[in-house]
Amino acid sequence: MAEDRFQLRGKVALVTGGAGILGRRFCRGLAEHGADVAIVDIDADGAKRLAEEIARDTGRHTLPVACDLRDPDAVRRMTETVLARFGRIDVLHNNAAGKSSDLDAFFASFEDYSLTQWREIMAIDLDAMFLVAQSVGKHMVERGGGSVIQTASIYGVVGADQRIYAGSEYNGRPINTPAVYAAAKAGVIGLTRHLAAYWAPHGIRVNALTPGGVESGQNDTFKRNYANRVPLGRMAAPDEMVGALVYLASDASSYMTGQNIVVDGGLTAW
Amino acid sequence: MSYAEPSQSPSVLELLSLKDRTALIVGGAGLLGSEIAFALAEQGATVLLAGRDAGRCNHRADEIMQKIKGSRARGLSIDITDRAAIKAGVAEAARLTDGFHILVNCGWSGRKNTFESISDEDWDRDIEVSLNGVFRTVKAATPILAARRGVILNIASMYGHVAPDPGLYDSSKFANPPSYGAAKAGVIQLTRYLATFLAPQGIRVNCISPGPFPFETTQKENPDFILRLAAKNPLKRIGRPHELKGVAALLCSDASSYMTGQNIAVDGGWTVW
Repeated sequence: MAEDRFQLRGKVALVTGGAGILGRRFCRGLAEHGADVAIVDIDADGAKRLAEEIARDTGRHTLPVACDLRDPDAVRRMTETVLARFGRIDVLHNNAAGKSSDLDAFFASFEDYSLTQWREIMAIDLDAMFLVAQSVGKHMVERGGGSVIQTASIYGVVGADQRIYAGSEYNGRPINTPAVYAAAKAGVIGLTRHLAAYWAPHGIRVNALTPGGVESGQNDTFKRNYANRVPLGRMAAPDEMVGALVYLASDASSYMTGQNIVVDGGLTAW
Repeated sequence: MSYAEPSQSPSVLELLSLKDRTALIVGGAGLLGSEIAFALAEQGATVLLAGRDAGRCNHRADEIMQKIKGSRARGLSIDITDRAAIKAGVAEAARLTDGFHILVNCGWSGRKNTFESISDEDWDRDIEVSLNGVFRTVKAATPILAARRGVILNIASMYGHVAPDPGLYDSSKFANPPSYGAAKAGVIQLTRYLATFLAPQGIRVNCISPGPFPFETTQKENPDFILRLAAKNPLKRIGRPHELKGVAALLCSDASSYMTGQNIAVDGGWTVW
């Protein structure tokens, strides 16, 4: 049966940034397809509440793990915690991306961008991908298999049309998309291809998932600007990323590795 | 491999020189083909401009000789929808030039259509000219180019790697047809295949993907369309045909002697966002 290929029953998935806007949908989607899920997030309370909700709704085992992924020791302990609870990790969804502690610095113009802010964002958006892939990958190499999915971005694929950001706000604050994010996400795609080739002999598949803009706290101006840029004429809903994730996590994609699935409403098609 | 001292390397101008070389440019009297013909002639090549309308090609060739002192150019009749005419035209080009070194394919057809409006006949014609014509011309020219370690330059399109935004086009009267995009995507991939298949014979094969270069008639008929094209582009304007000269000069000369199988987008940034 074709749908059996999407089945994750008996598998263990680990999702970083699991309590975020997309992450919470990813965790739920994996659990609904039968996986037990470790929800890793810097927000301990958010991860704990989500773990309880998903366990209650799906009957799967869940494990919230609070972790600052910028800290190599914390990442190592996080992996140990998940392995101690579940004994294995079949699916790693390297999904976390950073929020800045200083939004003025985060949204500063490229000409004035500080190296401190650049490094702060890189530490989570790219360096943490490396740390988590390394830590969980070691385990997957030992076990002889696994599926790794890494969340990239359209801005790792194309440049941002700056006009979208004129008059745009997020939760009441003017926004743009900084260069560090684009550079980090392009790095994620490169890391994906590298690991796909590097771990292929160990039966580990590595693919990227590229979401287009997802509707959350943006103002109407942004939503309209963005929608005008997209063939499907709208932003994405968070749930619209889940199908591609489950596909990549499961045996339905057993001959795919090193690829980037772009779920962007057609933004990059024209 | 030991390298020459940088001080002993050929200069860029030497690398770009096409002195003692000859080029066959199919579609050489067209909007973009003419600019490419001028560029190669300026680099010192003898140029043959081929197309259905030999008179138009001859006229353009005369302009080249008038403009560029000491240049040699002439027109040639080749209808790339006619298999026999391709073979005969390529043979004639080889005879006239004692063998040519460079083949540029810029013939195309793209009758305005939407997916709903396009007929079998229109589809077939666009594919016949824009894709099959390129294949057949390359096939006929390969033995001639192989003897001279020649180069092939195909003109593809941004619509060979991204789709048009239908909202840019007013109606089926102006729509860029799906046949055109399919043929141009075919040209890009054929370029890659040819690059690997013909590398053993020393032939390099690359393509250019121009962005928006609408005809002047289109600009006059539909200025709003031009504004929309310009607004869509990061450089905020349509292309000027001479802006393809530099990339043609690079890809047809020894300045690109280690490049093959590539697609160079000259599109004002159209595909970067």
